[in-house]
Amino acid sequence: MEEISKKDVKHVAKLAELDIREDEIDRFVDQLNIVLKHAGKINEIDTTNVEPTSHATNIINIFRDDIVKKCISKKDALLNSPKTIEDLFEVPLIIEE
Amino acid sequence: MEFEIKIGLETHVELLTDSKMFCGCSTKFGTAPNTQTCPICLGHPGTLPVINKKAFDYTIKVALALNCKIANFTQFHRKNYFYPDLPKGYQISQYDLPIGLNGYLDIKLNSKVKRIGISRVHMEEDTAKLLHFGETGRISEATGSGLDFNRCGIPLLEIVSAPDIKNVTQAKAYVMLLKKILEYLEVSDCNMEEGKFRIDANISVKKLGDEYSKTRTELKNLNSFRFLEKGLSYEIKRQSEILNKSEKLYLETRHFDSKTMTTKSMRIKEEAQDYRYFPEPDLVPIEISREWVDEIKKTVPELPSIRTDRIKKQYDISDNDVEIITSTKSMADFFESCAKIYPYPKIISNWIIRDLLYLLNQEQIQIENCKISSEHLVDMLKMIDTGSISGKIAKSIFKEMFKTGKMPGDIVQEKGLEQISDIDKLTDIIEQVLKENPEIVTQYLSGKMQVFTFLVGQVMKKTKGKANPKLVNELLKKKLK
Amino acid sequence: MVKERLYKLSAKELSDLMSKREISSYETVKDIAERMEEVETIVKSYITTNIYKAIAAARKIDKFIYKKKRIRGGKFIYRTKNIEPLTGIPIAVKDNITTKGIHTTCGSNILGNYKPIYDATVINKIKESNMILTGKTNMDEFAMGSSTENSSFWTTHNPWNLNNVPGGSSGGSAAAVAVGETPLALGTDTGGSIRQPAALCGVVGLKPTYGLVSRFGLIAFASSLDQIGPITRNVQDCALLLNIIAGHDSLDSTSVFKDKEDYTKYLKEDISGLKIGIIKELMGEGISNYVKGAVYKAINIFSSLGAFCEEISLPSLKFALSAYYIIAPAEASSNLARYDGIRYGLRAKKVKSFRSMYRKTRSQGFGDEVKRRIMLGTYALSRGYYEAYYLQAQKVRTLIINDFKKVFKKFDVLISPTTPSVAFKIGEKFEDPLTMYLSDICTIPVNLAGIPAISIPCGLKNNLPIGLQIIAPHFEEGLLIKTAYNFEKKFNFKLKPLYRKF
Repeated sequence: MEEISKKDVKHVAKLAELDIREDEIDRFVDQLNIVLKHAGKINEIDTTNVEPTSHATNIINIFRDDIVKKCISKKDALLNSPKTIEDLFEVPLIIEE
Repeated sequence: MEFEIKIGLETHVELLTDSKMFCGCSTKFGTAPNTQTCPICLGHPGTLPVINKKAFDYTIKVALALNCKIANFTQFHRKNYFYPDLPKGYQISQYDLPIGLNGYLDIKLNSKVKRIGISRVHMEEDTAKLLHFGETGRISEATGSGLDFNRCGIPLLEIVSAPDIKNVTQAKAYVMLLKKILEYLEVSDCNMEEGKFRIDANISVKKLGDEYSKTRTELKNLNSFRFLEKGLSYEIKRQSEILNKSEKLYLETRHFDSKTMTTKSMRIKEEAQDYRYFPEPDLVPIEISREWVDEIKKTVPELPSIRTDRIKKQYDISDNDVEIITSTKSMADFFESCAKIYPYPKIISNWIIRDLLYLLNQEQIQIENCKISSEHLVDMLKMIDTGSISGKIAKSIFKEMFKTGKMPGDIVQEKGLEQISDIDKLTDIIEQVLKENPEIVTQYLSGKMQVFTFLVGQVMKKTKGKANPKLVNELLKKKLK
Repeated sequence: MVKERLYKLSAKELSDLMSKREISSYETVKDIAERMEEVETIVKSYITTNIYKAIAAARKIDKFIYKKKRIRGGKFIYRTKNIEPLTGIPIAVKDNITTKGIHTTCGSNILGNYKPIYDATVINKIKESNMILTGKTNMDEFAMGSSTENSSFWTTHNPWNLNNVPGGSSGGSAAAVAVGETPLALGTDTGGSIRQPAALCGVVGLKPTYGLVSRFGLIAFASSLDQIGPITRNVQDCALLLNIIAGHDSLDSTSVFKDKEDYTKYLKEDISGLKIGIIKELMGEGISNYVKGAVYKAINIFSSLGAFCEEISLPSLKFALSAYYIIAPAEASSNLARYDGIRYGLRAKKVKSFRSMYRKTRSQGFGDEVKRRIMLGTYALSRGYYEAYYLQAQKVRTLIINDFKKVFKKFDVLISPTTPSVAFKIGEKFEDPLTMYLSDICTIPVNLAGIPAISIPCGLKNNLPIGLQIIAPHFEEGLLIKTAYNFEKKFNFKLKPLYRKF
């Protein structure tokens, strides 16, 4: 597998909404490469005609009935929020992008 | 220069379930902010989703009505992106295994049929509502945005058309028909003002003879028929002008601004967004059996175009009236339930179109919420036919029924509105009128025939309009001979 | 008779004494509280203690247990004759399981002030069983780690040797059970986070079959791998606690419909004729010789009990660690996207745009290991890499499942070491992620296959415990209990930290 580059790390950090300081980048590049090198071993095994497993159980078709349950109070909803305004969760002004 | 246009429409529809897609919170519209939430739809740590069966059934129903192939195996995926209205940092949606695939919708324009492909029908969850304080001016000094999670997690249907739409007229016809079908299926109230039926468009314009480039525009916020029309027209014009100047088009997302009726660029994409879809591990896969699909098929009603054609054939009313009557399922249902118990469809349609629709519009209510049932209307029509009420009285009875929901017979009795057809009684009244107006009688007898209506009027006045006008005419003429 | 300190007793012993009305729940909790005072500043098992509420709850339960009624002849008897097992017994819960109104930090600064507004399903179950919550235990941040060194708050110390790690990520739970700060604890296991610390602290830890215990209220690390399970001092307590937490939950779509079982019934069965497979791939390179030696001794014990032991190979296990370090971070990168500073948790100060709110909050709130795994997982799911990493890892997962299926046709249970070595020194592996990851090499395959496994003590090296892992097919927890219990009786392990004065 190809190695992960500084540019890749920056791109991935952006996708994951993480700020990585310049002085941290090299360390992350090195550590991720060591892990990825090990993880990349999975490509040594032949998986032709092998179905991927995304669930550890073979359960299917689980639903709930369309029944309304009691909601929590507005107070509880807002309880843990770091910032609220007029019964709303406040965030910095969002300019449509 | 001539241009060719390719439009694909993406429609998001809130489904009409009582509870949300993955939790038991109510979906009721218009309640106070953040009063319809729970740890699940707020995306609290440790919470898990469970699929609302009804929402899933509704999606199959829509996919069937749009002639889609129904997947026999499907699952949900996580669509990962960050936005404040998305509490989990991912939307539970569908990816490579949507519930419905490869359907179509036939629109009719100038009696020509045009088939628009439906690429996919899938389920997802709605996001929270963002309120911008600056814009609304609700809080003058505020510089932030606020989030209301009541809408968050309401089941959302996404219907994606193929890029088969060639112009604005077709786009409008497609959306109107789609909306009508969804209303017919009773899976959404499609209220556009409440944001329950939202349209985004992908538009590509090219010079005639050129190839389409990949520089389509994704146009958002076309949330009424008028905005759809204005937005698409503006965008087609904008792109054509750029091509005329031989300038470059970009792959971009634009937002329709309903104040200026123009579109604004939100984001020019260098590459498509990377949503990192992967199967939702918190939800198990779904196998849709043939039996299940058959069950749902039974709930799909006769669809609008088929019903319109049938009603045209089955009943003796004008095509124009049929179009009005079948414009909503509930109105067509009302008409047909009347027609089942009353033999004159033309009379029914006249009352619906002239009187009922007028009142519904005036009071701003839907036919399914109005107090007049088919029994109300038919009982009243029968009373006219037997002569027990006059047509004029019927109009006021109709209004009363609309207001109170009382049966016509009861109203007539309560208000004493029954028509007087008793010959002896009418003769007495006529004789009285003649006695009171000797000079009018003289005028009539001397040949001034037009005073006759005055005398009829006097009789009606004395009976407060309840006298049978036909009988009054006959009896009066006889008396004056 | 001079009463022995109650903190030293197992849950079963406490429960029996309570049934006989020889001790009260209050006395039990009180003694646990005293033990906490003695050792907590040294061992640091808990992030949040709940002792005041625990004492109040114990008094309430005592009122119920000791309520009397008059019978004929003017005599009084206890109103409740048989009290349910574990009524009034203390339990510690890992801090990634939500407790309404009690801080639940997941070992992370980002949830440093988070007070859940709901109880996890397992918390409801332990409350319904009248158990008493002693507190929330320390863990690696978001359960990512094998030593508790990744906790945002502090490292828990191994009660056997304070210079060493207790293992992780449920290190707080395992240390608390080992040192007597609680008789019972709940842990969570995504790649070994129950079994590995249980092994390093010399206690019993069971990871149930995926779907047996509800995940509702378990703060997700990797959703398709996470399970809650018991950490206890012996197998009997493990069976009792599993009885309480197992069962279908309609709030968890991956929860399995299954009849309730009484796992204590397996304590009565012997293991003669049991077919035990020794996993070749987990007895080779990378496993310390003394650990292998302890496992061979265990094999002798099993043979003496009438079981047949034979070495078997599961070739795909070679790739398990690699597959795990793609799948778990991929799911984690998505599961941890909700920490955005809007509805709960930390929000960075002085943010001007919502993007900077995200980036600053997440960068300040998450530790390095969590950031590493988020980036790793994001990368594995991103365009151009999905097929080579995520999809391929899922296919390898299928091969691992198939290998287990195949060997379970021939064997009832499988055994291996739980960890390649005994507890390592604090700081020893901290800067070296891959070496740290390798300490999960024996436990990870079980999570990928979704099957149950238990770790029980099987020896000591330099006064540090060695763990034996027993693995069974789906929903065969009974087999695990039976096998482990028979071994435990014969092996007769002494949990020394309980008697240690610090």
